[in-house]
Amino acid sequence: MRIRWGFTALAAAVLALGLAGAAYAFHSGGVAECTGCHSMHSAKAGGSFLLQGSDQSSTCLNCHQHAGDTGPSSYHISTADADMPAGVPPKQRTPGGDFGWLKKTYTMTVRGTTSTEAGATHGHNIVATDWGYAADPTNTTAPGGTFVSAQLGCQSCHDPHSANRRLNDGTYVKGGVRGVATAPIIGSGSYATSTDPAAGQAVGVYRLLRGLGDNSQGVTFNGVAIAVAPSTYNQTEATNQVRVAYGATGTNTWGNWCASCHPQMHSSGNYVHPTDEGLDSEQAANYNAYVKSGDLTGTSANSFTSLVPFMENTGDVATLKSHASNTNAYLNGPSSSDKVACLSCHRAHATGWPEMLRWNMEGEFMVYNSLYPGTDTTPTAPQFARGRLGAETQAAYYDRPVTQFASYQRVLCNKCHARD
Amino acid sequence: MRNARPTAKRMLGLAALAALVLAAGPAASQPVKAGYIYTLSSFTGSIPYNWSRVAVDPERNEVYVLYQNAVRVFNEFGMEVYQFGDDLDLGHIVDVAVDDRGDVLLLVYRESRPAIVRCNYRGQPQSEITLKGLPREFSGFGPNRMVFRRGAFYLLSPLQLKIVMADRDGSFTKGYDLFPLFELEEKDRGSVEIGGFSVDRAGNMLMTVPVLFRAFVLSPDGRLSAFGKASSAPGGFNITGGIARDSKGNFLVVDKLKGSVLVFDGKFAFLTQFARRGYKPGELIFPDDLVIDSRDRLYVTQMAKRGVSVFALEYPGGRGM
Repeated sequence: MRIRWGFTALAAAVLALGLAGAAYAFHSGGVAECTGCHSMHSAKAGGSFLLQGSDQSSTCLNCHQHAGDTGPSSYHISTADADMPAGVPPKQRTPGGDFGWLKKTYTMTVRGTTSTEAGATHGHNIVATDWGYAADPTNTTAPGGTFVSAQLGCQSCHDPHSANRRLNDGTYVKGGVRGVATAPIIGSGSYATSTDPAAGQAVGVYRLLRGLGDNSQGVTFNGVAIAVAPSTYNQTEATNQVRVAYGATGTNTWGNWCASCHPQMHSSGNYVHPTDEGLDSEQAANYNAYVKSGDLTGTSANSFTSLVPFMENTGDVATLKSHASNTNAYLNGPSSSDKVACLSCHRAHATGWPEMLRWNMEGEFMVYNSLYPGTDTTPTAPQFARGRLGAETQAAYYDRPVTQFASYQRVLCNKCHARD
Repeated sequence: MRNARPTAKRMLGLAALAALVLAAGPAASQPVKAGYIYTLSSFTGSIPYNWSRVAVDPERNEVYVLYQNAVRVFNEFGMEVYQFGDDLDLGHIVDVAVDDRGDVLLLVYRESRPAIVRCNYRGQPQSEITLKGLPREFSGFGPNRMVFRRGAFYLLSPLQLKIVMADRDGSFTKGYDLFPLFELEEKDRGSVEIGGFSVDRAGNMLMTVPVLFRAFVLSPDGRLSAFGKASSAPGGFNITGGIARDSKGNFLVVDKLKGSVLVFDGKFAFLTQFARRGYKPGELIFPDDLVIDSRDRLYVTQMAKRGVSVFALEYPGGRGM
């Protein structure tokens, strides 16, 4: 009887609270609840868009950064200053990376010369003044383009009011166009667990990323960036990797999308690494065989590493959904038609390494004498430690045990090129 | 005559019901005010914290601020008097509290495992408290908020939506899974987290949940009540942060987006809001947490290196206790 009364009271309390049946994903694949970002009656005097904050990114970080995190935490993409004193790396492990790396500046002395690796080299320098994120101090425009760095914010790539959507038949259309009727967005389309839209329905595009001719801040985003992430995507990769299944079809490719701001990094004829191109049989075979430096005994069934992801040569979301995983359930490597793209080597937000690369390219060894380089672990090799503690290096590799690599592991260009 | 008593009873019942309704209705506006008094400082000036963690020692009127693994202690005038803990030897400190004996309690993580370190007033570790007797449904519990109140630990995992109560020695006494209480759907797991958390003098657990645009009060016997709604009008919630209760029983809720603190009476009726976004004294930039001491002084953390702003609540007849 006591249990029944307790349950009844609880049910009554819940009913009284009026929470039953609601969903709280906030963005839900499109424009979110207005009051989450705009304050209609108490906005900053002289501010823009009724936003409270010195800039748009500061509004985003209001929810996407949280002080007190002890590790990777849901949708947080930046670690609070309070939680990363000197010697402590940022805590988030999202596929895009933790913007906190932008605040990690390292100083090192190699062969008698002291130098500094500025945190600003570690990622996209979003401007979020209230949060201590400032414009890129070196590149006044996007490398390979004309986008003004001082304008870079979360909203440059993500559209908080995104009306782009994927319909039931798999096509992508732009909503919010006067004179045009289209299906409503029922929820996020970013995840392996996202509901598939029924006829007359749509879901949002991956991560509310701009596309379909979006013209924002002087940049036109052509095509659509296609991908599917596991529903839990912010986790340590000490045991299980997070595999975002990136897709590519026609002009809907990731290289094309990044080229919206970085066109000269992408155009053919320039002396740059190919992107959006098939790996071809040589590179695909290397990828599948590569285990670590000196070890090419791998097989395609388990060759995937999130440190060198590739784009699958498909735009079929059902296929991508079946490949997105955070449990190592699908580790298949590429076929020769799968593609290399910008994200194969760079993370979208920030990393622990210069040029927002997924691994350290500043020396020949990622692992030295079976240790992650650090001022504490490999003090005689400061050129590989680069002013970090060994634990910081490990964090930059998303906590992987060093044993996953060779005792003298060389850079991961070799995952495709196998020269080590 | 036989009907007289039931009629009288009915009348009494109606009168009681009316009284209840009146009592539950909006309270008359109380002229509670808050005046900015200072920002926590050292002898070199205001300390430029971003979103620090604050705890108060009501017995000794001292304030403890945790930031980048260092704990600084401030006296009742907001001046720094001591600091310790910035060498990472204790682990990664994620929260701080002070017990009724004056011992400093640190919630720390070492290799992803939580522990509570009891320190003396100098911050020297004296003993370690391990959580014991956690039921299976609380295995893997990873708190990052800690309150010590009335001889008990209240530990919160904001993303797991779980609260554990433990005695002084760390033995589990009670646990709450907020996920079913909030009646969330499984797909929302990981997308809903607690923003602000505190425990009032009666042992009620106070919480805010930004994406629900609500504040919650969980009583020691497990009853949950809520207030607030999404709105940028006065009294509405944009993005909520810290929550605390003053000596008069009023609830104070931080709104990060407004840069304000909202005040509700004990029956959840909106009374007033104070502060706004800005860089002048008494204005706030993305305030986050809020702690209140025994004399109704508010300590509000914020961004943009604005430190911890201190306000004094004022009531009719003078300041708070």
